[in-house]
Amino acid sequence: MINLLPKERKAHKRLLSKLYGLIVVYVIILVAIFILYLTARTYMYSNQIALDALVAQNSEQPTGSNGELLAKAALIEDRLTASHQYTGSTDWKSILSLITATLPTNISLDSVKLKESTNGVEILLAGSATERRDIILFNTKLAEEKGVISSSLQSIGGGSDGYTFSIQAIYKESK
Amino acid sequence: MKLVTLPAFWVVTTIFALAVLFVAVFVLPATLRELNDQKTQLSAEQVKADESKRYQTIVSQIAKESATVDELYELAKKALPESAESELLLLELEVLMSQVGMSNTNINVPLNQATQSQAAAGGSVIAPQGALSTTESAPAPTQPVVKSAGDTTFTVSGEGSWEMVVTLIEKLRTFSRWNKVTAIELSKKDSVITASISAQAYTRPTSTKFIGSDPELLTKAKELFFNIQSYTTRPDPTTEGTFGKTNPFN
Repeated sequence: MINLLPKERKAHKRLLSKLYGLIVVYVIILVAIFILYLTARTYMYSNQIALDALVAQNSEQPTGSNGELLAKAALIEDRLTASHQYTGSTDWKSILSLITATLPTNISLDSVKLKESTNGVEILLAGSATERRDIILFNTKLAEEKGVISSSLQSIGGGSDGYTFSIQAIYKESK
Repeated sequence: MKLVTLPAFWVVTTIFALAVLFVAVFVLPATLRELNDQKTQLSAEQVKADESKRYQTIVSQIAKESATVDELYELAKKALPESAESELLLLELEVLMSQVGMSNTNINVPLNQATQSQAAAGGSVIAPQGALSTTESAPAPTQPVVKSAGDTTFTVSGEGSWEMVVTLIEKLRTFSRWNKVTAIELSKKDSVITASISAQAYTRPTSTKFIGSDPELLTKAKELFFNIQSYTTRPDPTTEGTFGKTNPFN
């Protein structure tokens, strides 16, 4: 076939077809962007539905039928959480056991005073013994015990028929 | 001839560029921001929903064990009541002391907080057995506790053996009313040990909001409250006692 169109016309036609091609590409790109936007919007819309459902679900208050039971449970929960604040941590029995375990056999106690203080438990012991040596032995033994921060002999009195003494010690349970 | 020489090319390209620019400047950031906000909100609501679900599970578990909850509630209320409950404390201590087997027992419990300072000075105290005794005021507990107006310092004393003293201390540890022993005084006279124990019992306002943070609540509560020892119940005029006298002085 012989193309009888002038050269300029042919070139112009080619240019126009290139331009149409470019327009098609632009349109495809814009349509793609629009489709992406629509997809994002659809996704966001479904998210919004889920979000609304969750908000509605979360704003629902527990039903009133369990009100009394929950009030009781609240008290149990509160007391359970606070229990450590209101129960004594000092093991008084073990302090008494410590005193009896460290007491020499020929010493007897006349009074034991245990008192909670900011430093620990204050121990005041008074008793009698036949030998001064046993009293000092008792104080030394007590001072060496685990948890006993300090132990000091406050007084030794008496005479030939026996001696009375008093000891002050501080005990603190090691954590 | 080239494409750029065509005015239509520039018109089309400019329109396209403007459209892309519009999307890039106005649509894209706003959409991304909205999407991001929505995601954050969604995850926050999801967390809330999960918590709510967990809460509902705990509540349904509690509802299933309502009898246990009732039992635990009574024990918890007794262990740490809202008010001083001095009368019940006194009765509990009375039975406890009789079980220990000590003689010449004294129980000092301030009847109300208005008289507590008087009691410490030897004023209004209750002594079911033996004579009234003056008690030394107990030192403050070492652990931080929110002080309440209903907190009570009580003292129990009596005569007995060393074993009885140790038993008394043990029983106070598992006593139905939570307490902190603050002082112990033991003395020996004629081979009889006289013991005096001071302790602090507390009160705490009722919590009305159930948080439901611990799925093991009932198990832990059972471990704690079923191990405490109750010695008596509150007097109930509907089920006990006989009432009515013609002459009140007879």
